[in-house]
Amino acid sequence: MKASAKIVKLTSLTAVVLSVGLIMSTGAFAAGTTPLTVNAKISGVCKVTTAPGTLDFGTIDPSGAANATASTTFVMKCTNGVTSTAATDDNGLNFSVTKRMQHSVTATAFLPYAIAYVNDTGFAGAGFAAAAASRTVTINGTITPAQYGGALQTTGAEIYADTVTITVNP
Amino acid sequence: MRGMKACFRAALAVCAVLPTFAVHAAGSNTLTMSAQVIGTCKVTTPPGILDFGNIDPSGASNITASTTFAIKCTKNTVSTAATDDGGLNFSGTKRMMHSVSATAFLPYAVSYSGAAGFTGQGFGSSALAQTVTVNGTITPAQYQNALVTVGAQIYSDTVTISVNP
Repeated sequence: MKASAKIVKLTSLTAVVLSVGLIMSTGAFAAGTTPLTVNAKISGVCKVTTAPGTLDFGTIDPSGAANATASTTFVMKCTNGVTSTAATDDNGLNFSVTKRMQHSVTATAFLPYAIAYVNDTGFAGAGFAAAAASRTVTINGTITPAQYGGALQTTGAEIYADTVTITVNP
Repeated sequence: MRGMKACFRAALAVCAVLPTFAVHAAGSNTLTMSAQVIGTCKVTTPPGILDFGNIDPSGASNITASTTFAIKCTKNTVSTAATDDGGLNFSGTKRMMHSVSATAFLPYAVSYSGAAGFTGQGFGSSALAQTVTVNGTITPAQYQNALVTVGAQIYSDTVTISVNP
């Protein structure tokens, strides 16, 4: 009786081994849990959050001897951890040696000018949420007497105009 | 004995429905054999990286990413919703941690589609598998003030997903 019982046990052991072998052969990978890796990066940028107004030099008296100036501002925010660098621009639509506004009727008449940016650099960004700190950048425009002294007159609704695309950095 | 071997060789599922199997040896010795096949689902192809890429924090739209994994389940077992452990940096929400500034986190959420309601066909290599999609979302409110990543810096997390049952 003992002998026969032993045989049964051995046989059942063989069966178990066989069944384990079957399970192992069904697939290379099978688990009830799996790791998921999640990744992201945050780019370091500054963006204009309030666009500038018009840089309007008004009506210039060409007989003057002082610089004509105008200014406007825009607002920017930067990525948390990013410090702003100098703003740049594309020099506008009529650049030739200097930025120039074009006469609205006489397309060959230009009024040169220059602009400078104040407080554009060194702003430590805090992000872009509504409450995040922002920086006001001032745009100062200048037209020297040498630039406006010989300018063609504008009559009625005529105007000198230009459009400059400003880029805040990074 | 030969019949029992054949039973295991054939399919465990068949054994499960067999009544208890008694072996009568000489005299009164009785050995009762039984087997049960558990109803379970397993991941058979792990997911790729859920990569949100390079996020512009000045944006106003949700940032999304997705990846997939595959599951198989015991024959006739119907899968239920996948669950997870919340990842390594959970606090109110799942969060990725900045690789350099350990106090900087980027919250996100994941959802699983296709995980529930799949009727398993078993685990054989030809058994039907179900593809589960992992959808990740980061809202503007979650990323707008996130600390910048410079160079090789990155936000990352590891979530352990469980398929059920």
